[in-house]
Amino acid sequence: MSIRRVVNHEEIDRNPAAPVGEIDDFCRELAKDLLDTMYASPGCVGLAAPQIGVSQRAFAVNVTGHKKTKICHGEMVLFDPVIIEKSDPELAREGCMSVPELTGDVSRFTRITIVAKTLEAAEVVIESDAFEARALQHEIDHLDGLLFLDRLASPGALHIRKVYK
Amino acid sequence: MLHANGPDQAGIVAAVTEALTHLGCNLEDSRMTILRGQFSIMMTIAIEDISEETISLSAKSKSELSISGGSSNGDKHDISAVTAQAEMADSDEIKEIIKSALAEAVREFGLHISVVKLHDGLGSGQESISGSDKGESFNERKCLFVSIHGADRIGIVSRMTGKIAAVNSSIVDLATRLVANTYVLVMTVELANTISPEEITRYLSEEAETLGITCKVSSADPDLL
Repeated sequence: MSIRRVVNHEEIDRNPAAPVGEIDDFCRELAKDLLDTMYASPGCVGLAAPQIGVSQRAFAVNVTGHKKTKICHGEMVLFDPVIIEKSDPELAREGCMSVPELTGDVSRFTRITIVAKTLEAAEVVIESDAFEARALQHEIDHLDGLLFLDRLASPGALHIRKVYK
Repeated sequence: MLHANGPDQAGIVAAVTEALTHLGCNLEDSRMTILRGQFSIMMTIAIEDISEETISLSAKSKSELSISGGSSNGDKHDISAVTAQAEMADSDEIKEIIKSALAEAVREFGLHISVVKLHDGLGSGQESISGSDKGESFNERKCLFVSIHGADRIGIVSRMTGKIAAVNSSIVDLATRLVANTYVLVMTVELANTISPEEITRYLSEEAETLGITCKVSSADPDLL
């Protein structure tokens, strides 16, 4: 088990991450670290490799049990994902492990289809919607060097994330 | 906390922030809006250090422009120019220095300015909430988005927000618009830990029904991705 430190918005690489290419031992180790770190972070349903300081196009997602989830593929670790279809956008508030002090209203496509590689090196086509689609788009943004701050809908869409002590 | 308002025109934000930057202020949180041609901005600013030269210039400017408040004694300014830096706790003096620095913008744009010193810890950084719920939980409080609209009548805001206050919940964002005879009220509400979203939705819906207006409530909770 290897729980990695999640880097904040000042440290995260804002350049597009490099394609993974072939699935090798590095990818398998990376997948394990992404899952371990994601599950060790309360409330976290997705984590991209740049968030643990690895500039590679890989992420983990698991939205199982979330109240906004409709289509659910369970635990996923995907490499080199590409969105090939998208539907109408919808606004919702989201936060990010790498921007812990803020949340923001961000428009995301309600249905998407992506092509990606799995740990078994198989190419998969994943159709998703609702919360899982939002999570996938959020993680793919990380691979492109984007944070939700880059997609805020308006000045009023930025919110302080309140913590009660 | 600095609040500036006046008739809207191009260049207000640039002029105000330039003056504050020149004074050595660090701009933190801010919100600006325009209502029916009236500009308004509120911002939190931090001042770590003000040079004696700036204080002297500001004091001189204050004397010349007769910004309201504080002493109008010119000799006092000379003394305060020397001592104010060492006595940053003197919030009245700091407020006057800020107002003096903004005198040109005030004159050019017809602004009204007010400055309030915030207590330590409230001026920046992550917000934390104290009060009756303090210490109950590390969880984030439930957040709801409330949208109300209908024919305009007196008392919509007071009666709807009264329901929220009655259950110790807080309005953290609010906007209203009156267009023709249609009134629209939208707000973000943080719930006290003692009430559920379902309960407050019921209270608001019942009150809206008595007012003959429509009320929709949805979750505004952020999802951590």
